[in-house]
Amino acid sequence: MRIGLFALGVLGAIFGPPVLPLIAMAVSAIRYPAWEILLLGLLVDFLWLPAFPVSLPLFTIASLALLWGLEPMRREFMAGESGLPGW
Amino acid sequence: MSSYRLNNGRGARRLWAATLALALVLALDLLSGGALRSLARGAALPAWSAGSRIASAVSGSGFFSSRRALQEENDALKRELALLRVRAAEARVLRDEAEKLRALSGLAALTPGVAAPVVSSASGSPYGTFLIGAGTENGVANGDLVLAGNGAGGIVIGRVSEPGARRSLVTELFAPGARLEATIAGAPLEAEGRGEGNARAEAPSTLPVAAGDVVFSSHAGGRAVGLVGAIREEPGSAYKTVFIRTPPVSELGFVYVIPRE
Repeated sequence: MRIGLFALGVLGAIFGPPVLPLIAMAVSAIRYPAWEILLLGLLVDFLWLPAFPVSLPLFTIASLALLWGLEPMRREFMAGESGLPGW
Repeated sequence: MSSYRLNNGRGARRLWAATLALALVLALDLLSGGALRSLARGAALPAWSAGSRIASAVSGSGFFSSRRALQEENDALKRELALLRVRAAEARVLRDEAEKLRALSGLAALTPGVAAPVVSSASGSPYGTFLIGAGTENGVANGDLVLAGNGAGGIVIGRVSEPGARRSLVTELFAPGARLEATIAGAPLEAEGRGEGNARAEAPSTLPVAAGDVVFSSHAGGRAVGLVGAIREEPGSAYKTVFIRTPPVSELGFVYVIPRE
């Protein structure tokens, strides 16, 4: 499930509308301690955001907000769920 | 309980490590002038071309034969419609320019430029950007104008915002949230981008604007940047909303890049 969400996010970042990686990131962050959503946010910004003039990497910021913002809630209600072997 | 705490501690350490790694990658990219994002785009390029090949192979395999016929007809009609829109827009722009040039006793010359294919998904970007298959090796430079149509009567749809060696990132003039000073029916207005080639502007209700009018901008070298698609007037209001559209990038196979002015 976790790998599937990551794959969905990657495919969405490359081919689909921006809402797809956002959904994948949000669901992953709610369900798992999903550090990989940082990669998804970074991928969207690296693919589509020009380096100059420097502007806000919104998807990277969103991934950080989701990862750290939802962490206390996730830890409270879904302790022990990792979705990946050994995680 | 101890195992839970252990897992929690490990999890937090991993999240911190991932966050620090992210900060490091971002800093490296910034310091290298965007080299890492250029690598990411280079890596995604085969995926984009493979995606379009797979889509054609699936539609050509006959697996969805009944759907395929309808889809092909639909696609062909969409392409034809987009082409006709571009041609109609070009004709209007040329007519307007010819009138101006006659007034100035000048001569219009085809602006030299580069035709480039659109190589990325055109609707996937949250920032109103897309990739074209031409770069500095083809003479493309930062700030160059990107047109739908040719240099004579084309509509400016964007600017090159990050040129690479063989591909460049283009930012649409009407990217979501972008603001552009434009002229409609001789009146200066500020158009606000809504993405997908759409924008809107507030105009005084007394301004004589009609659907099909050409929108110009000094930020695009005085060239056309769109056409008035629709107008919404509220009774009693001093302003009316003018909806501006350009040919959607997703329906353009190629664009024309000309040097910035």
